Amino acid sequence: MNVVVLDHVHKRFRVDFTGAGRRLLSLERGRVEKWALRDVSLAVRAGEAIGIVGSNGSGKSTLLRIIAGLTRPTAGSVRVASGVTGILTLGGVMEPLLSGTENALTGTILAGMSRRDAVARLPAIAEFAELGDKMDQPLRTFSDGMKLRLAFAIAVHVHARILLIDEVLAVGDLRFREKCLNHLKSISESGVTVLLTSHEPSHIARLCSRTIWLAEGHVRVIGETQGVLERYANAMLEAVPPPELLAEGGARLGSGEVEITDVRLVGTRGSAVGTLRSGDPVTVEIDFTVHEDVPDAVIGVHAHDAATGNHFLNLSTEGDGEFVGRLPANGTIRLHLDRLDLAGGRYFLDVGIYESNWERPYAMLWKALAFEVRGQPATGLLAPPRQWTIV
Amino acid sequence: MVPSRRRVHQRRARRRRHEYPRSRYRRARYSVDLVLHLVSREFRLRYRRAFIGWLWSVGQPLLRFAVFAYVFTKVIHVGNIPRYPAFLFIGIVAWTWFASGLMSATTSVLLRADLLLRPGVPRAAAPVVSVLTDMLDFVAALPIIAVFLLFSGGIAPSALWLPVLMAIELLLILGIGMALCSANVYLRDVQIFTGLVLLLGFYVTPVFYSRKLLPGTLTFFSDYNPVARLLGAYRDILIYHRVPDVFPLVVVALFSVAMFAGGYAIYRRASATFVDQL
Repeated sequence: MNVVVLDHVHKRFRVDFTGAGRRLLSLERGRVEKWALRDVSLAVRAGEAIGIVGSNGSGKSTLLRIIAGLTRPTAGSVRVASGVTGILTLGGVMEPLLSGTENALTGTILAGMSRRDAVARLPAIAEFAELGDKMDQPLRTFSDGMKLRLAFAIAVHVHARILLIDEVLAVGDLRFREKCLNHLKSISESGVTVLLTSHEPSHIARLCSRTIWLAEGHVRVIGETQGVLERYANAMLEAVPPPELLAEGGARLGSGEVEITDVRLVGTRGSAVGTLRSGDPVTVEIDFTVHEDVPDAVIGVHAHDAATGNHFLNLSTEGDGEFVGRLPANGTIRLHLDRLDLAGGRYFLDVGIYESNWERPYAMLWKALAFEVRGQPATGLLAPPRQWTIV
Repeated sequence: MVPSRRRVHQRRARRRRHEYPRSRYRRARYSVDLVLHLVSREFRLRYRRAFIGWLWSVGQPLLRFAVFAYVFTKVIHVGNIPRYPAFLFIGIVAWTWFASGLMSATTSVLLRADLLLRPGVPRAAAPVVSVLTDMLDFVAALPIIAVFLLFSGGIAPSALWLPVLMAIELLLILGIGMALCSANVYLRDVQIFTGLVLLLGFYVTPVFYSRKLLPGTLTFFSDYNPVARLLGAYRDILIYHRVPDVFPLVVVALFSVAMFAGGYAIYRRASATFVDQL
């Protein structure tokens, strides 16, 4: 059964009415228009989890707002089963002077519960949000992360049939984000339809079976998540100049705001190394120069096996909940790994500094560095410290 | 074991209890729940950080009364009006509800943009909550009105008309308010203009003077002014112990109902795309 059916939906915004009178007086006609969605058709079955990706301004939020019934499409038809809730906005109705409990009550009622049901849910919501004693204190004493936890706890406790989540998982600490993702997974499996927009492809990959890629209001691709995300990631690379090829099949690419000047592995003695012992601690150091000021960035460190090309490491500041902010003109990024239990062999390190929404790399070094791991060679990738016992 | 049909049915019913309000009746009940909750929250918030708290809802009209009573008895003379304190106080309270209700309805959607970003929340919630919250200030002033009346002739059974008059005023404020609110989302000129018109309205409506004071050419403003008619009716039933003149009151009531229907129709149409403008 389909719970959401969009049929050739278009949405046009008329940008800014203000000053219309003045424009009229100066006989300066012409209206600014923007098509946020063009010819979007979509059918979502009950219990499906759908991811929505796309760059800023591609129409993701507009799509969710139309599904939520908050606004009307300019053309096309929308049919949505009743029982939609979601987190499309944080704050606003949240009132800083009232206590967490009072705000949770309001939030739950606004999410569609009767007052009685809302009161009955409060303990469960407080528990999920892990706010315990904090709930009696005024909301102004809450951090942004706590507010998000509260909003999220409310959204997943109202038992809606369709749950819409717009970009909010990026806030909040890593552990809670993990809990949210797991919870979303379980309610999605229990038959709730979930639509999720995110800049973090890994969230969508974990949760969603199908993914829509929106580009300038069009559906660029819709289909099975893995395939769509791959094409989306590749398109990100198409947005920058062609790569400069390096030795050993490496490549340097990016839009050029930031340049990666050096990448090193620093071993236990504090000097750059090319060979590690399996299980040793190691620090990845990336020197960079900023050519053009960027407000924020995401830093990624990836590694793959030289023999098979399999990626086995994929770390990013965003994935770890680290905030990068404005980069200094010159600097070094350090990523310390407590241990690296790789089997003996040859590996490549890839590093990148990306725009904060992953839209394009400022600088990326593919095969930035080759390194050897000394240890027992194995057919697998890992060689953790181990012990066999037979009883 | 195959569950009997009845069991299945029961289980489904139980599950549905916590689900979304789907039927028309349940949606209506939900809307009432929601509006009552938001109004009580808003009212509590209004005086939250004030030292004397909710007492302000009583203190405000009293102090406003004191100011006007001083001005219009000591500074300017507005003629001899029998039981002037009660006359003035009722005028102030009923006008304040109209003016502040209209103003807050006009700006309601901008101030509560968040309500429109909640799936399932009726779009009319924002203006309705604003106007009802302002009505609570009126209700809080009722005991003081009663005290005034006890000192000037007592309360007569005609006071039972009060809820009728309040309902008419409520519809009038909501109707005009929702229309203005719709326009204000697109053109902020509306809220500035509304403030100015209300300022003028305060002087051309017999709030602190009696209609008899007006020269013939100006009676127009009080005769074709629904708020003036309502103020007259409030005073009739409370101070002068008379049943209000039925014909003018029916006209005002019909006018208010028409304004409400029109304002709501406009708001309904316009609010479908408010979110795009916020």
